[in-house]
Amino acid sequence: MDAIPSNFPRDEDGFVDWNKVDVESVELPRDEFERAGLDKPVEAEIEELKQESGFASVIVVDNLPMIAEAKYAKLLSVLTKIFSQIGTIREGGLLMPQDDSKTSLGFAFIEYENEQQAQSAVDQTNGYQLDKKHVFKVCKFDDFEKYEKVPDEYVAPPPKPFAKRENTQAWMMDQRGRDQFVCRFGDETEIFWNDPQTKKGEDVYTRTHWTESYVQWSPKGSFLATVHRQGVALWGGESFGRIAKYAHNAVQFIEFSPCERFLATGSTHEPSKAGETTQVLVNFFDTRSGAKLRTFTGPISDFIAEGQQGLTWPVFKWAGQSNGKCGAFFAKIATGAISVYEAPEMTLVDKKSIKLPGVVDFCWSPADPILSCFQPEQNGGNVPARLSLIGLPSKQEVRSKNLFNVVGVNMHWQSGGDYFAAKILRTTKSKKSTYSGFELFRLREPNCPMEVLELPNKAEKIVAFAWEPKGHRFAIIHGDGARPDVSFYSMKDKQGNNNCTLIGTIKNKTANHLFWSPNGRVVILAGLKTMNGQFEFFDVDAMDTMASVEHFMATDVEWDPTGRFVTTAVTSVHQMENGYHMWTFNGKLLYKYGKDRFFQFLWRPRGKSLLSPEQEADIEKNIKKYSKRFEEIDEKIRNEADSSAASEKRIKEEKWRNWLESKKAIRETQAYKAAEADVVGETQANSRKDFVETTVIEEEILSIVEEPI
Amino acid sequence: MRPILLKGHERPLTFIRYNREGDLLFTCAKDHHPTLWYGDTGERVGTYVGHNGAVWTCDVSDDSSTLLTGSADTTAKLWDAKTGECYFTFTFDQPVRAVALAHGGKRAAITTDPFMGVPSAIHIVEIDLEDRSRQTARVIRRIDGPQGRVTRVLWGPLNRTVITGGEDGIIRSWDAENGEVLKISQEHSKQIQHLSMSEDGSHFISASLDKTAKVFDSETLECMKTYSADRPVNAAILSPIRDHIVLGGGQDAMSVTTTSSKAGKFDSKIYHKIFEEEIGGIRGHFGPINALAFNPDGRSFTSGGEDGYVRIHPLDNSYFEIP
Amino acid sequence: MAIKPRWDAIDADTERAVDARRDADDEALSKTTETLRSTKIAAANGGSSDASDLPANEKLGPDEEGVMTSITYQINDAGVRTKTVKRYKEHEVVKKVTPGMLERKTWEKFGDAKRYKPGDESMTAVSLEEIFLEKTRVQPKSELEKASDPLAAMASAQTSLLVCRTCGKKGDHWTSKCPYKDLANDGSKPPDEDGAFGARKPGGYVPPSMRAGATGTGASMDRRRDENSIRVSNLSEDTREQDLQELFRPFGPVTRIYVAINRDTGEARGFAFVNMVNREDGQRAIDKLDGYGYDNLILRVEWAAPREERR
Repeated sequence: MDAIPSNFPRDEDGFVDWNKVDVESVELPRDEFERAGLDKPVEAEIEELKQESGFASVIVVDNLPMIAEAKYAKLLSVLTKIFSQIGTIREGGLLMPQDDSKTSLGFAFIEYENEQQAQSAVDQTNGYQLDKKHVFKVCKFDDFEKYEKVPDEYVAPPPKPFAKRENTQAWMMDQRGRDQFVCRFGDETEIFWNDPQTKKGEDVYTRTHWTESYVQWSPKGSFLATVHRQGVALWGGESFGRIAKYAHNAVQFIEFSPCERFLATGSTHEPSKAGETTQVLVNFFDTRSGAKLRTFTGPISDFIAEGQQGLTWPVFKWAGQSNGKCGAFFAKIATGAISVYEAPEMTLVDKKSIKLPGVVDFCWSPADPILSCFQPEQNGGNVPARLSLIGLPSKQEVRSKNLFNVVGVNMHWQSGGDYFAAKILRTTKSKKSTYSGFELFRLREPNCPMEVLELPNKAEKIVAFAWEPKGHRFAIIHGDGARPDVSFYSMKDKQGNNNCTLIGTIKNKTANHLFWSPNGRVVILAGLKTMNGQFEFFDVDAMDTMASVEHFMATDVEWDPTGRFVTTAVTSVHQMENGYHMWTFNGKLLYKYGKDRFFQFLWRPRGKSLLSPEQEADIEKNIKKYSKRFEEIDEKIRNEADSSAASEKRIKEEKWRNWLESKKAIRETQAYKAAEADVVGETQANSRKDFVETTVIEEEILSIVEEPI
Repeated sequence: MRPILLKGHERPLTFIRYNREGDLLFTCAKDHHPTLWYGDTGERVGTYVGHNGAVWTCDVSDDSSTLLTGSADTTAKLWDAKTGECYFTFTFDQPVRAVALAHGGKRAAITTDPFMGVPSAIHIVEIDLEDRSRQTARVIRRIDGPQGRVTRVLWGPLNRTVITGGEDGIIRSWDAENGEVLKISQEHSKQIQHLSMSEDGSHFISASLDKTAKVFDSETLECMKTYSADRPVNAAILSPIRDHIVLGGGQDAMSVTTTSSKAGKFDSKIYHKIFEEEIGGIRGHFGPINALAFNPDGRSFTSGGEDGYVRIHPLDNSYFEIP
Repeated sequence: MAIKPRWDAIDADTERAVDARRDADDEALSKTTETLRSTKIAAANGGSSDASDLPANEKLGPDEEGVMTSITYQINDAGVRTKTVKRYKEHEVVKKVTPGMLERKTWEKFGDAKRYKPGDESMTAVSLEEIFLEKTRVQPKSELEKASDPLAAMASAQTSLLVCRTCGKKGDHWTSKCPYKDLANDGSKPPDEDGAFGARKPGGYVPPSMRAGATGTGASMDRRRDENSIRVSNLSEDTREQDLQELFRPFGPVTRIYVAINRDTGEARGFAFVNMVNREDGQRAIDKLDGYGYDNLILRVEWAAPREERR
């Protein structure tokens, strides 16, 4: 690369004649970036660096009044006043040319200190109404050329050729109704079909270095998102090709909206200088078009509740949607308020946040746009703690309750939004010990009635709480010892009335987590971490344990979306024995897969069923008919593994027979027979011809017993 | 199935052979007395007394009149099968490891172990079954074998070749006339313990300490099948009537670290000859199985073990039902 | 089937044996046996004085099912007077013979067999046990590797199945303590054994003799137990029923485990008896576990000696 521009005057011998160099015409070298040849990041939408023309900080203001010399100075000072508010105009940077008759031409050039100011000026003054007849038209000098080139005639852009997109729902069409899951081992990301007949995972797609940090399925399973330095990519369809990408430098978290139409990507940025706070940046994208809909940025305090230290993701929580519509609410917590936004407009509902002084936590119902939130005691106890359910977009309180002596609250919504439970940890009057209680809300009843539940032993520690998905029951693990008890309650009593009743308690279980099957009825009482991977498959209908199994040191439990299978996995938290075990819903081990450096296991979610409730009921009635068909298919598959072996066998057998025959043929030849007679004295065929058949009595011994006498 | 247990030998069995019709069963062991039993009842008929060392091998003429045995006492003896009288002795310098009567019984191959730099050898001798008095010790041809010992010898089709297997795991076919090595097969990686020819002479099976048994084409020595076992294989035999093979073996008693002597867990394994798949096993021996022989009628086979026991296994329906 | 054909003297032209001739030879053969036996007795007379008063052999039957019973008395090679009861059925089977075979049947004893010695009779013995062809399970390769060694599977998975396989009930008892322990198959409906089990209702009345853990009375129970009884020796001192349950469970349902405990110290005396429901399972367990390293000791696992033989 020539440091000395080529247009410099040179001598015959090629050397620069410095005497002849015109200093003024020397152009500064181009941008550092270009010279050094810095690699552009692949796949990033970093804007192309503009060449510095030197006019980047200059703007053109058009549509100015064309005035006579007399008024020139006045106009000039008016312009100066307006435009110097936006930025610092360079000395001598305001130029309003005049024609020969000293009438202003109607436009002016203004040069700012830097490009940002110029851009600001454009943004802020373009369209500014100076007076009745003059509305500023302001643009950057560099853009001027661009605008000039706009043809007068509108020419529609040529349509881009239609690139057929793959069917992102293709996996749901699996004939055998299998589910997929993704595993990350080391650098590899693998997607498998869970195949209970062949008792292993059938490989669908494997890719090394597919993601830079983690992967996540979209809520309906259409896409797999991978997270990279420059942003997020979505992959889907049968071949898992890339569907879309979204730029977000140093992205750390992602969150889909339940309808999959929106994707939030978030990152935190540590301050570079001391004294500054961590910045949070969240972008919202439209997944289908890839357009960035809105950016939220600011110090971390804007995104967390009062008193919290670190950022918890998701910062923006999406409201659930049972009605299938896709205008979604999402909300974030901030100091003393919850800001609820509406997608796709991305604006605050009613243009303001919900003021909830001291609010520390909130939660959406998975089905309706109702959020639950908790505000602890304020004002030294004068204002009691408050638990409320607020409906959107009305922002009306559906229900609320004041609480006293609260230490903490955990919120639990039931999967269908039918019930809401809040575990309240309170201190006793003496403040020496704590006790727990539950506030249970029935959302489907008029006025959202509320019930209080306290365990027989209130002071017991509540280890876990979980609603039964799609059901009316919940399970609580409670107890202070190493083997707590598990109690099951139903929100309906035996007569079907809305009465919270205890179904039963099983004592002394090694369990510290509850994993309900997504269809309810079956729950896994899991003993993770210190309990070293004990699992009990419990049928709540029968109140009976179906199986008790162990997966030593398991760290994760994942049900498949249908509730037929569940996986226990040992992730790379542990050094050894990484891998997963696949179980049926009743605790039968199907198969295992072990590989080191196991990071993630995620089932692919299923979208909502396309069948109407009537159709589903119909299938359930005729289940025998359907199951028979599938049994046959399963049987065939099981045997297929063998039938390939069977055809192999046939080939082997044929080969052998042919060989035998060929050998026999040789023996049958005259030459051979003659030789045989010569050498052996008789041919094999002739030997033993003196066999005679006779009938003989044979004994078939049934038993022999020997004993001393 | 109720096997018949024969407890005639005090020492480990080395070799078992049926006569052509299958009504006589000859067993050889490390005790010096090969024994004759009735193949159907297991009743002991007699013992051949005369050897001074372990008897490694034997063969019987087609008419069941004559028995040829080979022993560690460096002799091979010809016996009258009926009376037990030894009527001729071949004396060599080294222990006799394997003997085989040629088709037609006019010749025999006798192999001797290597010793002090002298390699193993295959001695082709003439056998006169008609007139025993004319029997001589004349060696028609002496073939120098490999360095390692030759554990088994078979006569190829039409007596044109002799096939040997031995310590070096190599199967060789030799021209019976001029003693040249015609073909070599190096399929096995460890000592070959046993070779057994098929009914029609077209293929034979080998048993090796490398935990496999293999089937070879008798002419080309091409390895056609391989059967994998979980133990060193000491003996392997081909069923004369079905596409099955039986193999037996086991760890040498000394190298077994458990005191499982009473368990009776050493079993003979039945494989499908063509598909090379294990079908099942029959257990009962208290030590490794050293010798196997199929009754020519294919309805029973006999195993002899390190434990000194001989077991005649009649095969019943459960066996014949297998495809 | 034990093949014990009796050879007839046959005319070379005829293809089928004649009944009369067969009976005659039947007699001839039994005479030979008698001769042998009396020779033995005579020889034994020199040594033992018991031989002469051995009762006569009997042959009974056929009974209504065609079962013959043969009772023979002899002195085995240990010098013990034994009574052998053999129950068998006779079948007519067509066999091929050559004149040579017939001739060889008449050979005289030679060599060591010439002189009868006590114990010669038991040199040839039909096995008291029936030996089965143990079929290898044919499985797809993937399963084969996984399931080939139940011991390995057990060791790696460290499953602690608290499932009672006999009644399918979970959680509160081991299979050996199952009230319905006499069931052969897991999952199937319990047969109405002895009427006492009846419905699978927990909490129904179960007579004490049938209850779990009952020390057992009644010969039927004993016999069942003994037939598939496995003796496990060289156990460590702290081995308990539970450990053995875990050890044997992979091979099949277990009906009873008895660990010999020293009453005073509470330690195991080093051996135990395990009863499996299925004999094949027991056989497999013996195959796998005999010599298995367990708790730093090498186990000895074998069929327990039948009750009758214990002195």
